[in-house]
Formats: sequence, C-alpha cells, structure tokens
Amino acid sequence: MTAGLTVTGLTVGCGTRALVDRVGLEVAPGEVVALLGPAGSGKSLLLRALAGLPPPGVWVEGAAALDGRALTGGGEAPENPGPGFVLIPERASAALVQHRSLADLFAEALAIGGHGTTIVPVLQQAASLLERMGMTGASRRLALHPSDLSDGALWRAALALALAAGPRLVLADAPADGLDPSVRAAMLDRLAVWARETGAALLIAGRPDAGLDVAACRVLHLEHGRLVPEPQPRPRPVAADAAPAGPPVLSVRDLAVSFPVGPTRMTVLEGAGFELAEGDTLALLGESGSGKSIFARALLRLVPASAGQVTWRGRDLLSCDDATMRGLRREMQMLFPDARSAFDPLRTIGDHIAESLAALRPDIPKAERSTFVTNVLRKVGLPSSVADCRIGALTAAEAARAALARALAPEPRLLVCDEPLSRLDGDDRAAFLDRLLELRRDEHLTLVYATQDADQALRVGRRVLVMMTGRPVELAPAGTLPRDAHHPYTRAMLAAARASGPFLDGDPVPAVLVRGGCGLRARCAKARPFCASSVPTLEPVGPGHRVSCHYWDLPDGHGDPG
Amino acid sequence: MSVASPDAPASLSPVRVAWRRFSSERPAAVGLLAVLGLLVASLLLPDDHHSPVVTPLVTAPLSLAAAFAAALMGILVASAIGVLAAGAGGWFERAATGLAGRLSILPLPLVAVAGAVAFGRDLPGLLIAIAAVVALPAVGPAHAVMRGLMRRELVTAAHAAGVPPRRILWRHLLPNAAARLAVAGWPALPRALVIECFAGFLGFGAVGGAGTLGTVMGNAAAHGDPVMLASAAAVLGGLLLALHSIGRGLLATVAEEERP
Repeated sequence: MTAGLTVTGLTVGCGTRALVDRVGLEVAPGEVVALLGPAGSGKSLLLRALAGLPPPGVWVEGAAALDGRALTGGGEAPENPGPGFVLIPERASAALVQHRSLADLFAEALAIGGHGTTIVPVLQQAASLLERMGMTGASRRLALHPSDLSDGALWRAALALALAAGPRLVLADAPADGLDPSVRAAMLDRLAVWARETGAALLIAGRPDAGLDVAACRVLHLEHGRLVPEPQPRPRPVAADAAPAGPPVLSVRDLAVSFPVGPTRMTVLEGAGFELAEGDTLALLGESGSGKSIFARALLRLVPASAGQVTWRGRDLLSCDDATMRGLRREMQMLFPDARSAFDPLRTIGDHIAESLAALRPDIPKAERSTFVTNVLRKVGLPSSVADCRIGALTAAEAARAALARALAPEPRLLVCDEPLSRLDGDDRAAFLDRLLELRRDEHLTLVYATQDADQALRVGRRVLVMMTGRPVELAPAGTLPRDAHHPYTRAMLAAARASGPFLDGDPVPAVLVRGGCGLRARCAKARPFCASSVPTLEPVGPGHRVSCHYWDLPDGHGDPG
Repeated sequence: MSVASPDAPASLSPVRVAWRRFSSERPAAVGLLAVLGLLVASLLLPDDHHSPVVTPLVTAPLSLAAAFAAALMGILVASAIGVLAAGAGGWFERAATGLAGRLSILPLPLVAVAGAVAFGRDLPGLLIAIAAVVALPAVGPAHAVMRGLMRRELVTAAHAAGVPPRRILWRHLLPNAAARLAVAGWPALPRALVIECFAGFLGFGAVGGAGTLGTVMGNAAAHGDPVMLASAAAVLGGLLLALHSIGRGLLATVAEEERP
C-alpha cells in the first residue's frame, strides 16, 4: 500500500473535451506540493475531481488513492468521498457557514474528527487550532460569526477548521488568495508546518505569481490541463537606469492626509516625503492599509492633503488654484489599480483619450485627435480598433493597456502608478510591467510606483520607500535593500517575496487603528514596551538609507512586547 | 494580444445590453406584454360603462397614465434632491435625506388624500399630492445612487485626466446615474397607482365622466355591484403584478454590483 496521495492518469472532461489530461502525481505524507498554473489551466477542476466534487456535466477518468484507498476510480465520482481528506475552496467565506458561530463550526468538525463533543475540550481545541493559524485572541473570537471577521481572520478560521478533523490529505485551492503577500506567506508557512508535523499530505494550487512556493517542498506546473516542466524565466528589460543627475523635479515634504470623522479628524498619512530627479523612479512598498495608495493620490491632489508640501518643478501643487492644477495635470498622470473601473462604461476608449487630450492638450486641433488616439494605442500595444470599444468589451490586460494609453496621451513627465498590476495575473502581469518599464525608459518618465509586492518594488524603483500604517518606515536604494534592510517590516515583506522567512504574524493594522507608538509592535519580534509610547522617526543609517525603528540594530528575536 | 470579438455581448451598445438583460427576465417580458396588451385592448374595446369586464379594462389605462405622471414627477423631484444632497454634502445632505426618510414612514395614501384636499379634489391636484408623497421614499435610493457613483474610480480618473468637474457631471455622472435612478425610482409607479386608486375610491381625481379604476371601484361599492368591484380589483392586482415584474427586469438591466 502506497502512503499519501497517488494520482494516476487522471483525466477530467466535459463532453468530448479533456480539461485535465492524464495527470499523474504523488504527495507523500508530510509533503507539501504546490500545483501552479495560470487561470483556466485546470487546477481547481483537478482538486474538485480529487475531492469527488466535480462540477455537473463533467466526467472523471483515471485513478486517485489516499493511503491506498481509492478516492476516484474512473467513471462517475463517488457520492460520498469519505473521511480522511478535506478540500479548502478558493474563497474562505465558502468554507464557513455564515449563520453559525465559529464555536459551532469547530464543534461539528471536531466531532467528525473523533475529538468528542464535550464543550470545554472542544473550545480549547478550536482555540488552539486558530492560534496555530496565527489568529490572535482566538478563544474570544469563537463566539463570532464568519461575517464578523476580517479577510485575514476569515482565512485563518477556514484553514483551522479544515484541519480540525485531522485530515490525512488537504487539498487547498488558492489558499489565502487576496491577502497581502506578507500575510499570505506567513499563513502558508504555518499550514506547511502543520502538515509536516502531523504527516498530512498537502496539495496547494494557485497562480504562478501567488507565492505558494513559499511553503512547498516540490512545485508542479499545470498548463492547459497537462503537467509540464518548469517554464523558463522570461528575460526582463532593465528597469532602472543609472541614477539621474540634476535637481529634484518632484519634492514632497511631511505630507499628511486626514479625513473628518464627526468632531475629530482621522489621520491616514503623515510624515511622508521624498525627492525625485527627472527620469528617476521610486517604489512605494507596503501592505494593504499602509497608506501608499492615499500617498500616491495625494501627490496628484486627487485626495486633499491636510499638511505638507508637494512641489513639482518648483510649483507648490497644494496651494495652486483648481484651474492651474488642471493645467498641470498634463505633466502628471496616474494609473489606477482597477483599469476597468477607471473608465466610464458608457463611453468608448477613444472618447476617453480624446476627452483627456481636449482637456490637457488644447494645442492639438480636434481633427488631429483621432490620429493621436491611434498612435498612443499602438504605443501601448493595442490595435487602433480598441478606440471604438467600450471598456466592457476588453479583457483585463487590454483594459490595463488602455488605461496606460489614456495616461500617456497628454505626454506627461510624471507617472504615478497605484498597483496597476493588481487585476492582472501570470503572463499578462509580466507583459504589462515590461511594456510600462520600456515606455518609462523611452519617454524618460519620472515614475512613482505603489505596490505591495517587494519583488516588483525592487524591480521598478531605483529607490524604495516602505510605508506602514500611514508612515514611511524605511527609504533605501533598491540595490542595497535586499541585503541590508533594517526595518522588521521591510525584512518581512522581502522575505515574503523571496519565499523564505522570517514572516510577520497577524494582519496589517490600518493607520486609523494605531493609537500612538509604533504600528508594528503587535506583530514585531523586536518590540519592547518603549515601542508603545513613542513613534520612531526616520533616521539615517547609511548613504541614502533611512530607517524608522527604535531597535533596528537589535538582533532578531530579542524583543519583549511586555 | 487579441481584442474581444465585436460580436461579444460586452461590445454591444449599453442600450442593447440592457434590453438583452431585461428580456432574459421572463416575468418582466410577460409583465411588459401584459401592460401593452391592456393599452391595446382599451383602444379596441367599446366604451361600455356597464360591463364588468370592459369597464375596468377601459379605465385602467387612465389610472396607469395618472400614476405614471405622478410617479415621473415624484422621481424627478426625488432625483433632484438626491443629486443635490450628494453634491452638497454636509448639513444639507443629512437634513434632506433624514427628513425624507422620516416622512416616508407616514401612511402615504392618507397623506396624499389630505394633500389632494389642500391642492384640489380634481385630477391635477391629486397628481401633485401623489407626486409629493411618492417622492419621499425615493429620495434615499436616489441619494445612494449618486453617492455611489461619485465614489467610483471613474470620477477620480476623470479628475486625473484633467476633465473639468462640470463636464464630469454632465458627461459621466448623470448618464451613468440615469438607468440606476430609473431602477431605484420604479417602485414609485406601483405605489402611485395604489394611492391613485385609493383616492379615486374615496371620490378624488375624477375627470368629467371618465373614471379611473379607483372611481370604478368606489361606484361599484356605493351601488352594491360586487362583480364590478371584484373585476376592477382583479385588473388592479394584475396591473400591480405586471409593474413589479417589469421592475424586476429593470433591476436586471443594471449589473449586480452596481444595483441601487
């Protein structure tokens, strides 16, 4: 009898078409295997077939066995897949019954796993599993319903619940999808540690850029329903040139943004600043809620700043009137995270670009605008026919390029990008970034690029400004940051991108929830009581390198949160 | 990179996409056909004031027209208040939406009748009163529609592209709001129909010799004609069912994530 999961010649099809074609794989007890593939490659279908839950109208052939016992033996999938394995679906909310409390859900799962139904041991076991998945205050949260949980907590609960019955095989479809890379990496690491300790086989599926290899012993690649050898890495164009000379064209000092909430104001960004020379590039790196998006928008006065100074070519953007600012927008443009939602669905792409030209380039005669529209679409790699399409007719990749065309149409000098790859995946993501960097180099654009992916930040920016809870915590040249990051937050983000530890525990804390002191103290291994009383300031630690941490020079693991 | 096929549904004009979505809702299509059938029947049938079958069918279009006029006025007023409140923000937004919300919990048919007493017992006076009361519950949805649109990324992107605010309002916000406001305001039509019939039952809104469904029911009740009363009530019920089915179809024309 072979231990673990054994899959032989598994084929899943619909009608006469095979969607998953003769897949064979093995996952030994305690082994973690990542199954990577682009959208539509058949990953989810494969997992569902293994779990005996193929979609209606889909047939399954081939054999799959867990510890020698058949999971599917050809023909129709078994009605009752039987105990011993669990499928974690793509959305965490789908794994949890919404109208029942976590305690109820765990009681049921633990009873299935033979852990009894006595309430106190069940609650203790549930809290232990939640803590194992990194949930803080687990015993207090057992009374909550899934709808009361944040996305991060929801995923922790879904993973812990899946492990409650003590399965020998866990099939996880895009686990922790949608979470920050740093949080996802820590969560997957915990899941992998659990699998190795308990001897369970763990098969996790996801996109190639989802960071699943952080936890995996082996990586398999699935394309068009077939297992294929590891794809060759594509050549990347050089991102940053040599350091541009000349005085700064964009200067930001102590920028702050706050919003009125009742009688008080809620501060979401403060103390942010940098300087950029013509043609220079800066990456804003941070988790969700770190303030990088607000920062990017405040630069272009798309959200009102409450304090600070933004100077573009000697002009203070925060003090000029609205008409002057509209005129200056010719020189500074922005890319938004979701290109689709940045376009009016009732108007064509050509209308949008022509509208931008009419507003910002009155020197171009109306009769010549269509030529400009065609040229700028070609420049970003789109055919001219896209000008007549509405945004709903375009794919996500085409929409992202259309947004880039709209931004480049008035021939700006500064491009601010707010996570422009967030709706793309796989090859589309890489191709768009390549084109963006080529255009930046060709047009000698000054670039500010906000992202939550450290790998992207290092590739795009000549310097990286790391944001956390609405404050900058580290500013360093991209060349030195990978080997000489000082802030624990920066190191955790780099670790997540490199698929190696140490990771930060817990979920990102939004700036509005930080009540004095360092916003990382609840998650930081170096935290000491002093961190709660004083906000650290950016201090120089090397040439062009500044860090905001009281104990950046303390070795890891020497903290005392008190 | 290939561009999506021009034959793909997404590349159709927004109006054709909306019609496809509407017609895919079978109850909505049936409801629309029923209302159109009623209008055609009223034109073809003889004006027989004593037939319990013909009379409600002939008078129903007048009730529907009166309700439509009142609902349209009400939706326009509610939309104007909603747009102004969303644009102005601050105390005006809170006061306008708060007041409309509080007033809309009043018994609206009775308020409309009281209003008709003030504006005049004839049809125009009644319509003004009905428009005023059906506008109240529509202010909240209209405000929410505009608020939601103003927060959309397309508005920020238009600002970033240098488009002046007035042009953003006329070229992007209002055209996108129109369909949503129609969906959000559609319940005002059956509501106005019910109020008009209730008022007609009490003797309001009659125009010369022509009656509405409400006045037909009122006369039938006064003269002890249960067959006519039941027949008119059945036509009213069918009409309300058809209108609500059409409203469901209108809701389907707006993408799920954009519904008011």
